[in-house]
Amino acid sequence: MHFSKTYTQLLLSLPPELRDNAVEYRQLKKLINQVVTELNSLGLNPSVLQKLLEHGETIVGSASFRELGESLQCVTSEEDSSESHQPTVVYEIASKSTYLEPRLRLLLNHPHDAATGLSTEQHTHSPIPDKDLESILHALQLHSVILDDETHTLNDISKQTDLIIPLPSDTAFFQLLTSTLSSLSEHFDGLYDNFNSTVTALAGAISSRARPTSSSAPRSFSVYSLAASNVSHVRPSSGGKSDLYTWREVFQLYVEAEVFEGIGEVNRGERSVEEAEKRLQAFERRIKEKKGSLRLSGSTEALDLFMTLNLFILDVKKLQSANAEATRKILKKHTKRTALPIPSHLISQWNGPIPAPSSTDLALIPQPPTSLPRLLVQAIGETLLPVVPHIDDYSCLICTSIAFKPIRLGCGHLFCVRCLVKLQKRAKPNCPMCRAHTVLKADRNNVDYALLNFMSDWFPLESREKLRANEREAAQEELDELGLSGSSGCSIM
Amino acid sequence: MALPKRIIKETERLVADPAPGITAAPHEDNLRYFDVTIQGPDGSPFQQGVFHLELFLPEEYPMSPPKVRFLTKIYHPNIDKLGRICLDILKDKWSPALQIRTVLLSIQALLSAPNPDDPLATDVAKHYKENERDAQRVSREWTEKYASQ
Repeated sequence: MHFSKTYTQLLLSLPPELRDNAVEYRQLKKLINQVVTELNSLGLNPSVLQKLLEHGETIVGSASFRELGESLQCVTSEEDSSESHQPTVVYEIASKSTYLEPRLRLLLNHPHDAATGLSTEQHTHSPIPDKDLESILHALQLHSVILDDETHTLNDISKQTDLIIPLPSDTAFFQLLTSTLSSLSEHFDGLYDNFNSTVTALAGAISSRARPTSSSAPRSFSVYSLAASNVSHVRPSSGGKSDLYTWREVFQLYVEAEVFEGIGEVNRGERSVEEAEKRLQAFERRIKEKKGSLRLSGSTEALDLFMTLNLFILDVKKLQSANAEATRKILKKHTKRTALPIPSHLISQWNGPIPAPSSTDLALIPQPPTSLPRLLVQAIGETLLPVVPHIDDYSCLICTSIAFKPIRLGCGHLFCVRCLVKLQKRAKPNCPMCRAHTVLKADRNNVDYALLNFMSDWFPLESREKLRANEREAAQEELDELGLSGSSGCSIM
Repeated sequence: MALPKRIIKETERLVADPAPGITAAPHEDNLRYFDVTIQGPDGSPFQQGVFHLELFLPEEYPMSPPKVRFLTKIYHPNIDKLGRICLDILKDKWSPALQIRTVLLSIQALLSAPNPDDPLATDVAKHYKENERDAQRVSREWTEKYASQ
């Protein structure tokens, strides 16, 4: 009752297009009640069933559940002849092409061909009282149950070894559960496509507002195709205004907020719903301050859309975790109320973060869709964020400032001119990245002009600042080399 | 002289997002001097031990390597009585693309993989070469004696 209530409340807080696809917990609960009634009418109340199933367990081995399939024959012929009057029940779930059909298999009077028998010395359970069995059989007759291979009637029972009891309500239960889950996963696919196209559109909108104001002549950096192609055909129409730096800050804050996934050494991985919600709120507060600095029309709207997308991811995350919880709980309840054991591997899928792929289980209950929130976060990271080039991708590994002016060594590695001059002065021949002997060979021709232009466009402030710092440092070094360092105490009056 | 941007960045990250089993904190009065601890790697004779080191960034850093030394006594063929470490990237194989973090990770790895063929503490190296099991026993004893918290 408790969970049912909070579950409903949570679903109400989600947008309808998400809510409609949730697991129908209440409905499933009703079906469980029906299963119980149905079993009771067969005389199979939970405690009787429990005993019968336990017995079945010792016979069939570790699992009292079996999947119906090729392997069936070899399991059914393992009864010891001496135990011939002891009835046994096995709960099995037949996997029809599109749905699951659970049923009970009553093993009676097994044939004596114990050729491939398991050892049966553990058959010390007290036999089920005959009157129990009788009443079950009687009830079965009343229900005119179709027996075994769908052709025999109860009259043939003495010749039969197995009696199959279909469980219509239980079938309905599994059908509802699996169809909800599979329609949910289809629905998620649709959401994903939608989300992706929104992100792509937003990427276009932002890139036209975060475009550099300066434009250095011929733009020909095919290497940076994503950023470059966005820029080259949409030239500034806004008279030199751009929200480049504000957008960069926004994205920087977003990355640092680590809303949905941790990227640190210790806290790596997907976050819980609560943690993500907290972090998203914190990010939203910080973003509010930035809103004022957006100057171009459309920028504010784009930022709002960006927030909306993230809130949507959070909602999907909520739905997904609530769904997983509901499924887990309902399966648990199913076992508890009916004594019919749900095979543990079906349940465990819903507990672990990523279910282990296994061929036979796939058909039974659809896997939870690969974490949709995760895919959505990925879409933002891959499509949206790269629209504004990030300084870390253009910094020199040695000084960690922007690699300006950029020198591309013969081995392909990139450093700022200042750090390479220092290496050359110290006669260090090896590339700091790959140890190739390329440092001393570098000269004027190694300046990467395309990248240099790109940097002065996209990082105008950083490039200028670095240039000044380089000049200052070079001048200081020259003085030091001449022995005229400022620290010598010599000053002009 | 002002602290280079690179050192500031490295320090921030070391403190905010430390590598597992490693801590490094700069001295308040000298931001080029770090107190370091390294946990003995699991599966090595130094397991369960916490080793203290000092790390100093010379004026030339990152053009020249940081100076690192064990303060905790340790029985290891590549670390001598004074705590000096025989590790190529701290000497001729230094590259300015390496960082404090990568250096400390390398030292942690050295604890897992002693290299008695390139010894600094010759007696320990000899012990390791002649009777590795017994040498590891001594390493464990030292770890318990000097490096347990």
